Amino acid sequence: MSDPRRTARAGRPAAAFAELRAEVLDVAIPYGPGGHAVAPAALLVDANARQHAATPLAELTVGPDRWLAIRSAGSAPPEPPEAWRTGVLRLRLGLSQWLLDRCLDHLGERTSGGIPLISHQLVRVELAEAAADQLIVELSTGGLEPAGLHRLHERLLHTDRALLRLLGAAGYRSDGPGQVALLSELLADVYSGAAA
Amino acid sequence: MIELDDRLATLRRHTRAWSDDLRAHALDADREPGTPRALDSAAVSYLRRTTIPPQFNDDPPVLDGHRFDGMTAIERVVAGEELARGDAGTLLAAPGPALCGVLVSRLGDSEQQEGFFARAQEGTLWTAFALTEPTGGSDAGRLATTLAATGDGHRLDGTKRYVGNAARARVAAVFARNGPGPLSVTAVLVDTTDPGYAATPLPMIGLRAAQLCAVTLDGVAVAERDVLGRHLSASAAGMWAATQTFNQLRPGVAAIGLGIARAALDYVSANRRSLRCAERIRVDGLEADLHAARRLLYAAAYAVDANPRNGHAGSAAKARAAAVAEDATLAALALFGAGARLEHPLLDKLARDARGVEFMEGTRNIQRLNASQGVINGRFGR
Repeated sequence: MSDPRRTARAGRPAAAFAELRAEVLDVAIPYGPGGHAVAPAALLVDANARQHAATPLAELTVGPDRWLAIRSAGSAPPEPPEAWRTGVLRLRLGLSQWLLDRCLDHLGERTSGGIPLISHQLVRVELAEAAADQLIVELSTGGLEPAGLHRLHERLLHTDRALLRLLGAAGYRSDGPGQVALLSELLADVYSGAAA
Repeated sequence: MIELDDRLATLRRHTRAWSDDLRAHALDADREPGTPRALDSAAVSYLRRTTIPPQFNDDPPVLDGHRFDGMTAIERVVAGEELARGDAGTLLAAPGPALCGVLVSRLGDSEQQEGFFARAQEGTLWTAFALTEPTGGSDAGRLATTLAATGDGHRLDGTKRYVGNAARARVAAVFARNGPGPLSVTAVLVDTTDPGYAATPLPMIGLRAAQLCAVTLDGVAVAERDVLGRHLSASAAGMWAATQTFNQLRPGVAAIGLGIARAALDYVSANRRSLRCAERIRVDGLEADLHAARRLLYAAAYAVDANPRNGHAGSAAKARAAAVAEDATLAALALFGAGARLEHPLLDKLARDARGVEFMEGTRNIQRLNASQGVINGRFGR
């Protein structure tokens, strides 16, 4: 049985997205409240061919996969089902958990003052906060009002930012974990929140 | 309350006016970092002609009768915030002595200074400041790059990371160690066309215009005349001098964070004329945070100008500036609703750039630890 969160945690965001789509939908990739969609390029072009604008608004390469962001060609696309919106949150939770795993790898390998970074109190506090935030999201994904769901998306964003600080400059490379966090922020931007 | 005097207010007014020129290039510079932008702008002209000591500066900027050399932290902070408000990437990508100017003025003997600053004023010259390493980050105490004596000079070996402009620089200041212990930390000037120097741009999420690079140093020959601090005793050079140089430079990094935050709030002001009550409260709070961080930053700059040992407030200011940049850019995006990153590419860029402020000169946790040392030894907040 597919589990987009678990797949995302394994560092496979495109596969996780495909699983989520298969689990929730059998049609085109849905558009968010602002009329935008973001998805792996192959999936998006195939599923949304008729609505696909000629030029994507943004392209993002994450690991081996190219992601595209587009705007709906028509007006007021239908709202995605709630299962999609909570599914995106679960997917982002998996990506955040993957980022925490990368931090543990990174911090275990590096030292400061002869002590592994992972042993520094300041670092350990950040790890505990991140894990607590992730657990709060994991325990809160059912039956949420839009405002509550949005708040959880924000919580993950700030958790990821804290984890990126632990990675230092390595988290700022577009060929590393920081790019996964950027993708997660883009998914939240497109699929959470209200239209302006 | 810290107010700028007439001279610094003049600098702020002019640099603020110039920042529009940088903003006009911001998205192009982000897309194509290999092409330097705005080279003919007043902003880049100012940057090329500053961080040069007065005795070596043949053509300093003179604004409304006030001369500027960029040799004080407060000057660099005032100009840096305004120019980063235009575009932080283009600011960091500008040719000129930049960080190396502060380093050479502090550690170079008269011959080294004369040579370096003369060269920096010949046409368009980029410089690079190579400190950060793959394993030790920007902690000078953990340098692994080595400077070994040879029969007629020195040999430089090591690897650097995240060095801005390193691929287009003609001169690089490289930090290395010539033995164990804090006294062995040293800096040398390298001609980047010399054999053994190679710089490769790295794929980065933001601040792309600065073309952060990986640098390899494979047996680069360094003459004795290019070893900075050669005229100083080991105790007057070494880690002690490096730390003081970083103290002098850190407020400038903080200023970039405030400039990015300022740009994000400017964007909101220009494009969201009408805010709901809760949104207005949020924006007003961010404005207050920005003003507070600026006051802290000005105090830090004046403190380090008074004594280069006074770096603790600068660390606190840098940590706050990074937080303000992150808060302001994320809040600005939120104010434009779903899809803001796609419909407002400049805001998306500012949010990506803000992430970069965090790691320059150490993340906020490192800065907090630095500041805490000042609290403990009575030099900060006491």
